[in-house]
This record gives sequence, structure tokens and C-alpha cells, in this order.
Amino acid sequence: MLKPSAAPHLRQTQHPFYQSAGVLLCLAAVTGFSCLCFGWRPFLLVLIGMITAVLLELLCCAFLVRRPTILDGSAAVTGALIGAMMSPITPFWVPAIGAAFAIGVAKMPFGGFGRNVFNPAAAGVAFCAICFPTRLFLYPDPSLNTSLPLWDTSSVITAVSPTAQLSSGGTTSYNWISLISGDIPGPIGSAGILVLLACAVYLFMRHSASPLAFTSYIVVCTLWAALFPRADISAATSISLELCTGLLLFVGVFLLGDPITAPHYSPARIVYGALAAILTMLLRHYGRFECCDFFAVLLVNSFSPLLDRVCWQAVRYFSHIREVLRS
Amino acid sequence: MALKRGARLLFQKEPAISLPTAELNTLPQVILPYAFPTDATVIPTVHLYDTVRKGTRLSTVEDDPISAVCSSVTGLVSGEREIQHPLYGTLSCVVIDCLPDNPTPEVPTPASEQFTPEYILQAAKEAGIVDELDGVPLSLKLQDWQTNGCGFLVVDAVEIEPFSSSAWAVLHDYAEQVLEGLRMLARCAGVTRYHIAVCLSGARRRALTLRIGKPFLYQTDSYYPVTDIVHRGKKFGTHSAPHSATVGRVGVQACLALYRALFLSEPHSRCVVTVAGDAVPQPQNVSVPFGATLQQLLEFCDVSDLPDYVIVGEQMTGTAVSSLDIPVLPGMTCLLAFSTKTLRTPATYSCVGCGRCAQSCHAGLLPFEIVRRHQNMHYERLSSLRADECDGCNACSFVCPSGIPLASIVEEAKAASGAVFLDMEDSHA
Repeated sequence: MLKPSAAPHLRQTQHPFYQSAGVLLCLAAVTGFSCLCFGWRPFLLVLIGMITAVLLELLCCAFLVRRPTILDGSAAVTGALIGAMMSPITPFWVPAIGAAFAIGVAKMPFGGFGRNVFNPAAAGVAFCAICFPTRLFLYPDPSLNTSLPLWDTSSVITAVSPTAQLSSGGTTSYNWISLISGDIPGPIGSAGILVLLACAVYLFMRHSASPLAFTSYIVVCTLWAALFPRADISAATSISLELCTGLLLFVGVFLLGDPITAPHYSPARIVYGALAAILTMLLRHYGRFECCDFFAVLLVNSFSPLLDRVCWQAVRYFSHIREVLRS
Repeated sequence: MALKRGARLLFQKEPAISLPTAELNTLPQVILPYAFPTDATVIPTVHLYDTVRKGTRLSTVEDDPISAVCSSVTGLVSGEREIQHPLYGTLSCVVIDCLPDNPTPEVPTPASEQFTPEYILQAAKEAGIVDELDGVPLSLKLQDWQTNGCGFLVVDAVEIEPFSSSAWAVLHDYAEQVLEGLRMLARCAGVTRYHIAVCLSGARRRALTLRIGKPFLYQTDSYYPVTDIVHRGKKFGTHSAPHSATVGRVGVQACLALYRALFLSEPHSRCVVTVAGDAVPQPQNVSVPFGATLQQLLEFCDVSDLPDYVIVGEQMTGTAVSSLDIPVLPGMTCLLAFSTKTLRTPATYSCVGCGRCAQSCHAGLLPFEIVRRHQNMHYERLSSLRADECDGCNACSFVCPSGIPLASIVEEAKAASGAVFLDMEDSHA
């Protein structure tokens, strides 16, 4: 008996875990780099975020009487991203709350994987930043090179991050080498610029993130930093400080490149990246928090469908004009 | 420079493309339609137990002589039946038991200068030549080009899909005859610019260039579906078409059939079919008389067990059949047989927003957005997304990592666009 089949008969189908696995691998590399400076604490923060997100997604699926979707790996990615955007001395319950908010408010009510409007990880961290700012933006001094205690972090020596110094209008004493090697106070995900760039290349090659959005984001941020430095510093110093500190690069690679919440149309992704960069730099200049890149992502997420339509219509309009001129 | 749009397909033409074309000659019987689908009345000219010669017309069609079909074999009419054909729909057919054919007498080769446009058109009609690209009779196409004009004529031998290599097989064996057939077509249509479009590897392209000359060969890009089968603009002089010019497309096998009809007085009775897929032990190109069944063709290619899937046409646009008792007719250039190891119903996941569907759409549409609006029943907003411009190439469904049948949903959207509101108005009325 011959079986029916619909065209196209052979396809390039991939399990969604293929995408998630790539992101998890990159997050493992970023966390591992942070662990080299601070011991096991960053790893535990990321792990707690992951476990909370996965458990809550299971719970939501059970509540909604739906097939469990944890095997697609998206919940684990959300939890790991939230953990990686925390400071290494953040209490363990903070990423757990962030992950719970991300899954319970920003993801599952919208229909789960593939249907969420806002990036759940950005929403989770934004919630934590608003509720517990002092827990999120207090960073240990990496120059001491000591392993952090797992539980009681009250005795840890903290340092002011370069982003905080810039926000207050002062200058920083960090040089190029410490910026690139990640030897500056900041969240787990901000450590190791070279590791982040390697992750970006890897994710672009796997088609797990959008290089167009990332490139336009970085280009516009660079231009902005060169034209409008936040302190009395040279353009080159301003660029290096803006790009290599805080979560700018991390957000560009992992949150902005998230294909579900970004526009799907290539030209729209370029505009999306540029818009995110403008919002990020505006928030850095005038925002309340020193690390506000995830707020910019949440804001541009709401424009994604609009950007898709407007850019598509603009491209068609210009193609039509080109055809008319040709003929 | 224009952005490349389309899907990259993994070519699986080997070993069929490297092997010589096999000939399927000994058949117990063939099934041929009296006529191709037509609105006119079909009157059979052969009856039960009549003996028919190769090239005999099986019917006369009132007001539509080009829909009639010629017999592809010499044999005895042994029955009549109705079949459901994947390309032509319901066909009323005649079953002919094959008899040994007498060798045809040698016909003196006429000089090509003596063929007038009217003579060529008449020859295409009488030989019953049907273009394998779209199943349209060649004489109809010629009449259309004569009436409406044609700026450039292209023999489409691109075969961008993974398995089929029948056009290459014909070009490899009869490149000069195909080019001569193309010249005759151009003369009939009043076209001065023409070429053969191919998508071949370096060595094969060079070999073909040596035989027919560089000006007559055009290498297309290798993205599916190929839309540019001709240079546009003034850059390539007489080997390019102006932007506004109409391009006429014709198949390799139709060109060869025209050559044979003109120079050898042969009817269009055979076609070359690529038989491939993981259930075929020896994939190859086979020259088959029209009317041979898929069963006979697969048996000729040593397919002993019934495959799980048999597809008429190519991977991207072919039709899966439920029976092997279907005759090979013009328009059939590829037959694929798969087992469940290779082909299985794909799992479907939620859209991950990768945007590959938009990148692969050669019409520049947004398949993901059309699908989203269709599924959310925003029918009133569908018209602005131009779903009607979709030509059903299936590239979006192929590249979708989530296995979403985008093309079929876009097809539904085309049909549903505005329908809900029309229905509401009707019901209010």
C-alpha cells in the first residue's frame, strides 16, 4: 500500500532543541569564564535560574493541561540567561524569582514557546532590576581574584562598575587589557568580551541568532558612543567603555538575536538592531539604572511585527520603482 | 547587485546523471488517453480489437485537433478504462497490447531551409508534441508566441531540483538536435534571440559548450526556484532580453520531438524519465514510450518490492500517487520511490521566527506573516500581504526548521482572503 505525502517531500526540519543547545553551550562558556574569576557561585546562579524556569514551565503545562514543552530547551535557555545577567554576589532567590516571572508572566500566558511577544529573559531581569536593584547592581572586585563564598556574601569586597562610574559622569581607570580580559566589575555575562564574540560567531553560523540585528546594534552603539560620550573622555575610550562594559554585548548576542521576538524579515532586523541601540544609549544616558540594556530589548520587542510589515512594504515599494525605471 | 532569494537544495543526481540513458522497449501493453483534457467532444477513432500503428491518432476532437493523442506503439486495442492521473486528472483511456513493430523506412532528410513557420506549426500539431515543462501542446505555445509576440526563447534545461536529470540526459545524447529544434521553434515564432538555460557543473558545462557553442548556453544560479533563465538588459547584446520582453520557455524533450517530427517524420511517442530515490537500486534515466505504467517502469529499474512512497515529479512539487497503474504521459520527467527510512511525515513545531521562509521566497513575500494572520483569522488583513503572488514553489515549507507546511497554508490564505466578509455580506443580504 503506497502512503500519501505532501510536497515538499523531503524537508530541512530541525528539533527546536538544536537551537537551544547552541545557546546553552555558549552560556556554559560565558559562565565558565566567570567561574574562573569567582569560583562556583556564578554557575550555581545560572543553574538555579534554569531549574526554576524548567520546573515552572512543567507546572504551567500541567495547569493548562498541555503536553510538556521543556524538551525544546527554551525554558532552560531563559533561566540560564537570567542567571547570567545577575551579579555574581546576587542571592540565589533573585534568579529564581526572575525565572518564575519570565515563565509565568512573559512566556506561558502568551501561549508558550514561539508565541511570546517579549523576550522572557529580558522581562525576568527587568522585573528583578525594578524590585531588587541593590541586589543586582552590586559587583565583586575581580582584581582580588578570590573565590566567592557560596552563601554569605556580605563580607565580599565590592567595586564600582565602569558603567556606574560613567552614569555618574566620572571617568574610569580601566585600561584596554582589563576591558577585553573581563577583569572589571560587572554581571556574570559581561565577563570576557572575546568569549562573547566567539559565542556570537558560533550562534550566527548555527543560524541560532541574527547577525544583522547584532551588527546594526553594535554599529549604532559605536557611533553614538563616539559622538556623545557620557564623560569627558576621548571618542575611542568612550567606545571601548560603552561596548565592553555592562550587558551591551551580552544583550546583543543573546537577547537581541532571539529569533522569536525579533523581526523575521532581514531588512527589518537591521532597523530593529539600530532602534535597540538608540534606546539602549538613551537609557544609559538618562535611565535610572546603570545596566538597562534589557529594557531597550523589551521596548523594541513590541515593534517587531510593525517593523516586519513596514520594512517589507518599503522594500517592495522601492523594488517596484526600480522595475519601473528599468523598463 | 540583487539579493539572492531561494533555497539551496542538495543535488542527488548521481549516479543517474552519469549513466547512459536506458531504453524501455519491450512492453506487454500500454494505457493511452484518447485525448488530453478538453472541453470539446472527443470521438474515438480506434475501437476494440483494432490494430493501431505507432503514430495513429486515437481520437478526433471537435474544434480542438491538438488535444488528440497518437499511439506510441504498434498493437491491438484490447480494452478501455478510466484512470485518475496525477497530472491530468480523470482520463478516458484505451489499452493497447503491444505487437512487434516493423522497422520504419528511411526518410530522406529534408533541408531545414524549406521549413516555413506554417509547416513547422503543422508538424508540431501532427506529431502531437506536448511540452514536458507544463503539459501544454507545443503548437498552442507556438500559436501564442506568433499572436502575442515573444522577445526571447529559452530551452529550460535547468533542473534545479535534487533528483531529476532527464533534460541533461537528452542534451548529452542529442545536444545538436535540440539546438536545431530550438532554431525551428524560433523561426516559427519569429524570434531571433534564443538559448539553452542549464545549471551544470564545470566539466559538463564545458563539454556542452564545445558541442553547441558558448552563445547558445546560459548558466543559471543554483538557488531553487530559478527565476532568471535569461540575461536581462543590454549588457550581453543579442544574448540578452530587454527588460520588458516576454520570454518563451520550452522543454528540451519538446525541442527534440520537434526536430524528429520535422527531419525524421516521427510522432512524439517517448519521453525520458529519471527514476531515483532510496527504494531504487539503480537510479537512472529511462527512455519510455508514452502509456507505459509506473509499475512497468519501476520493474525495469529493478524495484522488486513495493516502495512506501512513489512520487510523480520532483521532491519539491511532485505528487505522491496511491497506485502504480498510472501511465507515463508527457510532462512526467521524474519518478521517485522512497522508503520510510528517508521519507516520513515531518514533525511540526511552533514557529521559531528564524525568517528563513522570507529569505527563500523568490516572490518576496512574508510567508510567516501570512500564516500568522490566516491562523488568527485576520482575513481582512491578508490582501495587503499579496498571498495571491505565491506560485507554490514550496521553498518556504522546505526550509522551515519547524516543519510548518507554510506553502499549503499560504495557498489556503489565497483562497480565504476576504471570503469571510463576502460570506457575511451574502448572509445579510
